[in-house]
Amino acid sequence: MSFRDILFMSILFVLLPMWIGYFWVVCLKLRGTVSRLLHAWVLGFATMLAVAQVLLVPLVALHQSLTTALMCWEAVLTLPAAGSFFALLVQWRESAQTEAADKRMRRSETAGQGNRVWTVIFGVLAAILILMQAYIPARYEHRDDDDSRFVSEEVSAVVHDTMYWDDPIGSDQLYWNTGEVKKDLTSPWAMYIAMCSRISDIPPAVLSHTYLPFFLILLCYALYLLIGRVLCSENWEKIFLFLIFLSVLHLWGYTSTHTLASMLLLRIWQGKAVCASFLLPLLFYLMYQVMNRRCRRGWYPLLHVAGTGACLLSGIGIVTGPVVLFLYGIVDFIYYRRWKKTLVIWSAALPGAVCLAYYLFG
Amino acid sequence: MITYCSAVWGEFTKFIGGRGGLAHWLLFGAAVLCCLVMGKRVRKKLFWPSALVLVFFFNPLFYAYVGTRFLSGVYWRLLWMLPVSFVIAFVLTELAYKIRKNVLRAAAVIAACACIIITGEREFSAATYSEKENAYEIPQAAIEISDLVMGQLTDWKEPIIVPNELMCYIRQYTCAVTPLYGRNAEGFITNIEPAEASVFAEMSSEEPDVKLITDIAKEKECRFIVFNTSFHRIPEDLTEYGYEKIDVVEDVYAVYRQIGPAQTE
Repeated sequence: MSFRDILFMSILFVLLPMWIGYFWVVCLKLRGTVSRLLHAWVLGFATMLAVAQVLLVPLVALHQSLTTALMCWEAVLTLPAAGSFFALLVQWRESAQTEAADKRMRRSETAGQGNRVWTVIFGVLAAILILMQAYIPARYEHRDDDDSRFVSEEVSAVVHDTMYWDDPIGSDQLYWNTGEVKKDLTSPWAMYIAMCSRISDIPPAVLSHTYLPFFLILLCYALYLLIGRVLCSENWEKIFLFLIFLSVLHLWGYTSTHTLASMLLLRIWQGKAVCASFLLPLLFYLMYQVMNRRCRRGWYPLLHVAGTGACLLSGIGIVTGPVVLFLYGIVDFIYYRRWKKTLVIWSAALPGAVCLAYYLFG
Repeated sequence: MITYCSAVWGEFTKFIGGRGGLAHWLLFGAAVLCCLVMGKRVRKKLFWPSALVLVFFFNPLFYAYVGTRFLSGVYWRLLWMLPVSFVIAFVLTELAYKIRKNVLRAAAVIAACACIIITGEREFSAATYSEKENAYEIPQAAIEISDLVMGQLTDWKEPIIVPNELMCYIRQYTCAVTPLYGRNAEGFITNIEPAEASVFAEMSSEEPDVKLITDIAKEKECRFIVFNTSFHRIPEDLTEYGYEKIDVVEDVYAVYRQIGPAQTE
């Protein structure tokens, strides 16, 4: 690990998503420093995935180069980044009004409703367990045969400046619509990583195996903390205990290589693992927000963002994203009987449905 | 219908890892039932979505029409839609906070963690993680062999034959070196040709037919062959087959080059 690489990765996987996600923080009028930072990080990363999906699918189909894709992605990302900047300026103007609310929120964030000593003890324990889970996959080596497809595709894209043009094994010209690689047209996660590799100048295998686990596992736990906040009614003592139980379940969850724990801790750099560990929990979280009687409208477009981002990650994201939205939509309808809301929730499944239609009949 | 039911059950047991994973799933089942009696808010967020996903997954009709056609072999992935760890962690947290005394609560938390640990399997162990050989986290031999032959190949599409344990890693390091076959030999990504399948079969054997391998290699314009001498029992001198040893990597990987065709060094 070099300082330069860590700096690049911090910008690509922490600062840039936070900057882009700040737009959502302002839209949703979120309060409290910790809440804002975590929401900005999680929602910003989901936005980056969705933007990449919208751009990469047509560009791969049009046989464009990785450089073109990268330039388009960077250009389009400046829009939400500029939106965040604008939102920041607006918020500065309104800072006097929000300061009091922020102070209240900060007080509740630091003290919570729980016992201060136990909050600190549980908080420290949770932090140790989470950092350990992020550090070990980055420090040690786990080999997975699936990488012979994904990482090879990334290497080929970076070196040849193409996207899904050659067989990741035999190097024959394959195009995106041949063999198993056909799936990758609608889920070009490998090209997302290739773009990150090109920007940071870190070889795809090093990026995937050494750096991504550290940053992605921390990102996943940021999301799990937000889920804990919703489930445990913002009681920090309970939230930290929730994270401790979650960590223990993950650390001792190797009952098969298919479980969520195995996806999170053994191969988080693969699209399907990001789908299982980040995107589907993100959909759960968004639905927990949307399923409140008094839900801010700003959460609805985020369902579409997450629905689109799920498609980028894996074929299973294309299937499970819409199914999750469909099932939670049913639950929401049973409770509130609001057709319009249910239709809005279901409409977020459209990107997945379109990709699935191509995947099955294209 | 019974066939589909048993197939769905098979997918479920494949996902949980048989009996080893049963305890955590029983814990999840109990936690879901607890969610049913934990108030409307919890029922709405955790119980009903979990129940619907389970109904969806265990539906033999869904498996028959969708699972077998479109999710063949990966139907178990639908179980990722279940918030298993969130439900267990949340219910355990809530139960712990039913205990008023702090010391007793801490003891309950430790007992719950101990139960999870005893009934589960460690994710980080020597079976899953090892000391890394390099920053790429691939076998060092794959890197050294690639570096050795890279400059001598006519172009990046010229294939080389490597031992089976290295075939998945060469292209993760560089796309300037292409193995004759890779994971497709095990039925992934694209189909493998009969000649390549023959070489793979021989390379999987401890006593490979060197003549067959070298003949096919020449036919496929494959000038480099690597044998693992700790596994493959082959004659050291392959000049009679038209190949000469040029180097030995990590004391076990003998790299042979075809004698004759012009070199590009």
